[in-house]
Amino acid sequence: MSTDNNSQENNKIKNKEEQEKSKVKEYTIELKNLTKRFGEKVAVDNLSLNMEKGTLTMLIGPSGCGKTTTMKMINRLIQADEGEIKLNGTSVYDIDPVQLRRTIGYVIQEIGLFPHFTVYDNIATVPRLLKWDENKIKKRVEELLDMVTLDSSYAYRYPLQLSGGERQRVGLARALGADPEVLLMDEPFGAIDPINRLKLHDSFLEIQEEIKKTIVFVTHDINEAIKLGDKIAIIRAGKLVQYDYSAKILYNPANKFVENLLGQDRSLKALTLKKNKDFVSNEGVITVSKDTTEDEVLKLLQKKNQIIAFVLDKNDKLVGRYWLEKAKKDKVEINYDEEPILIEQNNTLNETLSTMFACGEKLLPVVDRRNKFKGIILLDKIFEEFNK
Amino acid sequence: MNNIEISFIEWLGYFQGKIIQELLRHIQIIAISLPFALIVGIPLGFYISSRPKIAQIVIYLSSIMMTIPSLALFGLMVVLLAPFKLGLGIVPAVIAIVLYSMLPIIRNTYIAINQVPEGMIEAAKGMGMTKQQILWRIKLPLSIPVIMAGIRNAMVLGVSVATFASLVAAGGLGYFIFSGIGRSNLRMVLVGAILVSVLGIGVNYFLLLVEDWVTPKGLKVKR
Amino acid sequence: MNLFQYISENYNKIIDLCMEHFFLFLFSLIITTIVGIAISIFATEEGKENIGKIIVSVTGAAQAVPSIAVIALVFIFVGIGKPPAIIALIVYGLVPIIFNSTSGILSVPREIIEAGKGMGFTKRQVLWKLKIPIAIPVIMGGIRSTATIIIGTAVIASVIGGGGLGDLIFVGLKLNRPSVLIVGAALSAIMAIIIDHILAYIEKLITPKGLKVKR
Repeated sequence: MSTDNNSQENNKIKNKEEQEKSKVKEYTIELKNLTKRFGEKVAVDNLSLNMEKGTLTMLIGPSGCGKTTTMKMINRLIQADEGEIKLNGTSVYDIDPVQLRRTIGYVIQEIGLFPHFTVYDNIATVPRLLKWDENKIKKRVEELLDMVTLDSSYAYRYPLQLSGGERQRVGLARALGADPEVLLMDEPFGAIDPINRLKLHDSFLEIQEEIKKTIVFVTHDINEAIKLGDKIAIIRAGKLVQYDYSAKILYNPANKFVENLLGQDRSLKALTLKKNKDFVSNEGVITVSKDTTEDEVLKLLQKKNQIIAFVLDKNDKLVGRYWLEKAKKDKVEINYDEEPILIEQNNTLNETLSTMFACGEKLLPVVDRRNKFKGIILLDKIFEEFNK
Repeated sequence: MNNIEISFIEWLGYFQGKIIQELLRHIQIIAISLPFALIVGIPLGFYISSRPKIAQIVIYLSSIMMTIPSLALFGLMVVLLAPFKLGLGIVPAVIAIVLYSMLPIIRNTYIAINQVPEGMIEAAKGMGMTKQQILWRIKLPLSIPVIMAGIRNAMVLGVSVATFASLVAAGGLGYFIFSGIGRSNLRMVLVGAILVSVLGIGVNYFLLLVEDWVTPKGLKVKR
Repeated sequence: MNLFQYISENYNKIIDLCMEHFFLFLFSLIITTIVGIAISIFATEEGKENIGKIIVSVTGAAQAVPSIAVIALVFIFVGIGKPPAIIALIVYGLVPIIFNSTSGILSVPREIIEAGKGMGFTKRQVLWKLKIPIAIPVIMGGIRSTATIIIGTAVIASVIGGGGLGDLIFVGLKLNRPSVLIVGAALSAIMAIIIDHILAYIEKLITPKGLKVKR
């Protein structure tokens, strides 16, 4: 499938919708009329939900709404009272629960790493249950450690020797151990501090882009749901309130409850769905090489009527920034920053906006993961998007 | 059956005085021992709490002492005290109980004080508390529950060791059991067994209540 | 009669009593360990956690019962001789092992068991690969106190005909013969200390490394 990089969210959605129509009912996970009662209380009430292959579906709702119960019914940690659950067309009730769980990755908030196992043994847990060959396991563990960006020296450490973020990465690697098609995640980043959570989100998204698993992800954090999810299922009192692509929910909340859940700053949140790379421009951008002298830069800027010039090295990496400042008596002063504030092209517009507010810049350079200069983003452009 | 039951009750009535006497004797032996165990155990626990090297030795030695069978320790006391004409009567029992029950008190005091978080003591220092104030206002209240658990442990051990007093003619509930076994008098044995069990469980339970009562409220509240 | 004379004249008898004591201990320890752990496993099965909690509080209180009381009760209901003595040792020795194993297994964090189940561990695998190894330090603590208690109680059980080193202590006390008393007391003390050290070493050996590492 060839997608236009500049295409907007709506186009993507249309594409996906067409795809859906073409292959009727090829869902990886199908939940049909699920009901679960705990004594008198109805935890999940006649809930139906289908998830396509390779999508990340967020289950969100207030605590006690039945989202975790719904998820745990998929790997049969909780037995549904009524309804059907199908995995690739086969009812999970036709599969032995233990065998079933070995084919589904599972991550919980407390992670539950086994303290008496090394990181290696933790990740190798399911492959060993499935009696894989040890050589194959070794390769797989190395691959997974690399994927979650942990150095291979971590393999022989114990969980007690890891930080919270590292444990969470190992937890994810362990869930991916036997390369399951489906991953269930129960508030996996809930216990991580906000700064590390953002980092984990970014790396998690990168990993998902690579592995394209069908993921069911329970959260109570709407920002997390919007940032990570392809689709969001909003659950309230055991019932499905709305289930759609994140953008659709943001722009067309089904009712007051969803509106409240999304909060006052819906349009701001919508920016979370936009990637910087789709808003980069090169219009009027001045770049100079490292060898250019200050005087030359000054002249160039004045000639082009600009105030900022970016300094790139031979590989187009951003290494600095010149900017003009009006000093007293109409005299212009030129300044140089060695470590200019920059943003990454895969980050969201929302974060870019925060950064701009924080540093008071109307224009920021955009780079890729290897620090290669891609262009700039203007505050005005973000406002334009915001007002849509 | 009826006949036996009635006669047992009659027997109890007949033996009532002796039973109460030995029960009080038993309690007396423990009551005499406990203050000694406290006076030695708690200060020693405090003393070693800030001296890790000595603490290591003391804790190791006391854990070894704890593994020695109580009757063996009691027997050794009897032998060691015999030259001083103290091998009979209440003294060996009291010394054995003091020695034996000191150990959990020392250990728990040591553990209790060392479990007070560093940060708390630092905060207290930072607010200008003197060493004395830190001890009495911070360390002690926070360690009391654990120290109390040690005292409870010690008392329960005391109930058990005090039964041996009767072997050296010092009386106590052991009289019913040891003499009863010797005479094959099941009633005596039963009375002794029940009373000593009730005493052990009762002391344990009562001190649990005390423990709960002296524990600062802030340590008990649930999140 | 002085100590050395007594020892040299009764060398064989002392050795015999030592062996008797040791086998009394060993037999009772093996039985209590197997039975105690089995009961704890049963009481901590999923859905039976309440039974486990009751067992923890009952055994917790039962630890306050003096060993002599148990010996006395066994004497009343079973009689005199070796089998009653062994019964008393087993009954009394079960208390700490059940207390420790049950509370140890119950305190394995819920999320670890949930993670295991979620990954497809069978019930047995959850028990043998997660619950037991993680509870090993606590279980071994229970085995150690059981061992100490059995050796100590075996000394006292000699009053109901259990034999072993307790014979020497009681004879020494009753007949006022310090040498006999010292031999019995010292040997039982040494035996208790040595066995505790051996068990401490085993504990160190079988505690999973991941539970011992420092942050």
